[in-house]
Amino acid sequence: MKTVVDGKILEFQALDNLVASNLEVQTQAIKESFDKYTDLDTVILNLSNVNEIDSMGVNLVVGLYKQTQAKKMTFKVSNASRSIINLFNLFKLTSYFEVTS
Amino acid sequence: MMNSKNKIFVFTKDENLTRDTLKSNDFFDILIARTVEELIKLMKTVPYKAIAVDSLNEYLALDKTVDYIDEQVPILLFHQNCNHLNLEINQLLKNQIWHFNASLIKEKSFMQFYLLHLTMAKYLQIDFCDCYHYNFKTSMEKIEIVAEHLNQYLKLILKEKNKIYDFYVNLILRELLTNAVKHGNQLDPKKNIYIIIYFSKEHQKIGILVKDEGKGFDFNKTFEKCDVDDLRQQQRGLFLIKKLCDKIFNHRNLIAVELYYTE
Repeated sequence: MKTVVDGKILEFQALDNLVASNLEVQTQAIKESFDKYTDLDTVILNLSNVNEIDSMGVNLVVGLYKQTQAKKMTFKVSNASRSIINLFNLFKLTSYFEVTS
Repeated sequence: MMNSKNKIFVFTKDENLTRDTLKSNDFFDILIARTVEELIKLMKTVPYKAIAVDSLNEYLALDKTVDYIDEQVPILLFHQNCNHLNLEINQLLKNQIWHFNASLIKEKSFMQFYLLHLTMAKYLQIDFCDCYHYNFKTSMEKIEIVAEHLNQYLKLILKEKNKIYDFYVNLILRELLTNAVKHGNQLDPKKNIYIIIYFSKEHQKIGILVKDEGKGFDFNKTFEKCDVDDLRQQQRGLFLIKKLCDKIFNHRNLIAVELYYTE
């Protein structure tokens, strides 16, 4: 998970699929960035490199959303494939945060 | 659920394969034949659902039984150098033949698993045109390998790739395997996970069957207890399986699902 900070915007760029087998590393990277950067108002999760996501990957996204909500930040998902958007719709997550392709 | 047991003939000269070692269960009853003559005698007297043979030699010997074997009966053939996508042996009979790697038959439970699979296939009215099978020791990392194999398999069997369908099939496979690894086998690296993925062009569907070595579970009862909060951070896997699969069958530590598609 690569992190890019631009002003008050923190972007997480997922470099690999968000699936059960590799979530531990990605979750840790997110936690470290949240601890490191405190003066933020927006968090973006960039999924341009993500072809596959499973239920645990969705849980990671939900967890990230909850963390931003706790800190009163805006959360967005960008560059999601049509399949991933469909999946988020299935879980009604698009009513909680913005998801763009 | 089936009311009566299905008879399955196992044609083998391997003395280690017996009715006891192969274990009949709720679904099927095993009858062993050591010779062609014994097999023919069984065929004449007992209604049967399938025949399993444990080597190419036994399969070739079946040539003598052509007059007796019902063409609708599938044959499970365990043989060396099995390649499910590139079969080079000539088919003597008109029956559907499922090909399995002979080395796997050394694990008796594996053959039992296939036999259970077969009877369940009958229950689900599955038509098999192609079949991919795999087994691995419990490991999260292996899920990636299996998922990649599935992708290659889908590319081969589907003329035009349907990305969303591929995505969902892959997703369901991952959910089933993650459940088997984490909840079924409890991450025990000594335990196995068995997978069969089958494809029916005629009925335009793909099926995934996963068996672990855990204590098993009841899909419907577990699903009913799932959290339904949109922002829950667990229990999404069963929801996906329920939502995306057209057919779900679960028996103890085995689960089979089917997804239909349109070309």
